[in-house]
Amino acid sequence: MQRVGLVGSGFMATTHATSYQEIADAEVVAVASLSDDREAFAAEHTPDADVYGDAEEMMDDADVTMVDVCTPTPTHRSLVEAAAERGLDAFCEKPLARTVADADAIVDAVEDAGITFMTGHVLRYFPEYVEAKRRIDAGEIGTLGTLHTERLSAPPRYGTNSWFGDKDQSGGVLLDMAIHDFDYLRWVVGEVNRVFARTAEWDDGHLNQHSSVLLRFEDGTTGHVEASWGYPDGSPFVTSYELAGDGGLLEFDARDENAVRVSGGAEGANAPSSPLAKSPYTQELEHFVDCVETGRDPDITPDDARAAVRIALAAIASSERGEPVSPAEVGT
Amino acid sequence: MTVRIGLCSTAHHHAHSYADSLSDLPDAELVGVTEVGDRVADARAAADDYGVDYRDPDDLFADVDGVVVCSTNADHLAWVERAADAGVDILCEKPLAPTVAEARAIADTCREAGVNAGVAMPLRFSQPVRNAKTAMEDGLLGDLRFLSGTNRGQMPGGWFVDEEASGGGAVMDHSVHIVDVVRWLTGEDVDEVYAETGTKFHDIGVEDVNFLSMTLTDGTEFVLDGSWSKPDEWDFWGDATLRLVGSEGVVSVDCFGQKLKQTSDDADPAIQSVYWGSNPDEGLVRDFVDAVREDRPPMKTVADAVNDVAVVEAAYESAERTEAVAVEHR
Repeated sequence: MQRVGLVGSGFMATTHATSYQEIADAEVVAVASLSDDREAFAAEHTPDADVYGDAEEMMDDADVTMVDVCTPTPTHRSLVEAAAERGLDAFCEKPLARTVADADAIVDAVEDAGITFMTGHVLRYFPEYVEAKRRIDAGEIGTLGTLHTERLSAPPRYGTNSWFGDKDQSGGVLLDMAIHDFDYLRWVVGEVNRVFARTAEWDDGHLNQHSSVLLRFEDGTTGHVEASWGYPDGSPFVTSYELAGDGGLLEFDARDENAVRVSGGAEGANAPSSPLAKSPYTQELEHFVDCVETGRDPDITPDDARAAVRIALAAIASSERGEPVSPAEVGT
Repeated sequence: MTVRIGLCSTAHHHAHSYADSLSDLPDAELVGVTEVGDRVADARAAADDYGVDYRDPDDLFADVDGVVVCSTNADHLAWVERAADAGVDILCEKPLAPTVAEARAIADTCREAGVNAGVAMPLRFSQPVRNAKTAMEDGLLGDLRFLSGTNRGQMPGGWFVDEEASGGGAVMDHSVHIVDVVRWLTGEDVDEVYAETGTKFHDIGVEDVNFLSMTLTDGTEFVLDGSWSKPDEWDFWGDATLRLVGSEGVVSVDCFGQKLKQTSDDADPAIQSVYWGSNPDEGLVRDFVDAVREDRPPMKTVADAVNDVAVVEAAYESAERTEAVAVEHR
């Protein structure tokens, strides 16, 4: 049984706390957050957990066996380093880090300490994405040619002090959101040779961005990731892909899901809409807990998470410079 | 007055749809089909299909008010020169020409001969595109920030993959439709293009991957996937979509999204999608016939299309150099 110390009390911490309730081998025994709402968060989502205002104090004082980091991106490094110093296994939300230097430091820290560590590239647990990869790996669409993904949403209107809207902290839509597709496509295809990106940006009280990233993989496959934080408030979050090979095509569009369609309804009534019996976040954390319990290596390596950060940072650099950028050259 | 139209070459498969649209117009007549070289037999067969005569070129030119040129891209210039010589108006299949030099020669020839000449851009007559134009003009988008389009299709084969006849592959064939729509909707030109291309789907001598990342002259960013990436067994020929992202809203256009699904136990393919939306070619042909009658330029002129070809030429240069290339337009 893993005794989890959860760091953070925002949107992702809530998602993880909910998932841990469904995981037999893990229990959140402590929560640490800088936010004033930490007591309320714990009361609602982790009623048996001790509450701390300082994460390192929690790691020292609470009887935790692993740490789950659900905090703003720039804080990941010091929190993971703190866990590693204490020999605590750690799960960290994506993106791994805001900079290559921080990503390198995290990879070094977890490898030196020998802790079990994984980054939350949760797309690898979404069945529509897993199934596509399984079929590609089985050769069902032949040799890959063009891979197109979309991830479209309104700007995040949550996050402490609107940190998502601060590019210095979040890296914007490319590092915070497109990174899901970067990691997925790299998982499917392999290393990226170069990216060319365009990003439109405007401010309406929140940071709006709409980005397009062309990716050239080392094997010659071409990808296109379109990611938006530019949709109007209230727009449904949309993901889609079209993965084309020389022997076939895989298409998915979340707009076609419609597991449960609701018209009207009594005010305040709850109508769950996910078609999945188990959420991808629960799958992801269950896998990590299992790795911690059994000593197995997690699906997603520290290097994987760092490579995804490099692709995203290359895309940001390309957007700024108007030229193709290699993930290998960023941060050097 | 019945407007008399001839068809120069049926090498391009769009010829059949234009012939159908012409025969539906009460005030126009498809007079005949002509061709030169190796494809005369094909043109004779097509003329039979359309129920019109096959005519020798000069004989046809002497008997019509306008011609539709559906030859290979490389032959556009020669047909336009003959038609302009004969003083007849012209609707030319897209892309206008394989090179900017030839496209300019076409535009200059038509201007000097005083004939009205246009390029077949049916998406300007697509009702979903027109709806988007109305929404834009109504201010729905606020400020336009980003454009993302697709014109993915099946690999057409034949002369389309013979560089001598086509000038190139997917970049040549599937860039200009959405580029034209964007230029038409925004009133801007393409300023710069970066291209990722390749040959990944078919064993052919031209590219079938066509990703273009562009900026417009006002700085708006515009990305287009015009690859021949749809499998031969796909349930439709391809797509034409455009997403317009604005500060106040987003408009997503799917020109051929209006499809019903048909399953037939005894047919091959057993499952296919059938387009039921309004046919953009009807509007295109209607506009050309009206232009001939009214002695005015068609909606999309050859002069304007030179700048579409400039985008294509810059895209090839970008793919060659692996860097963004400025588009030269006039």
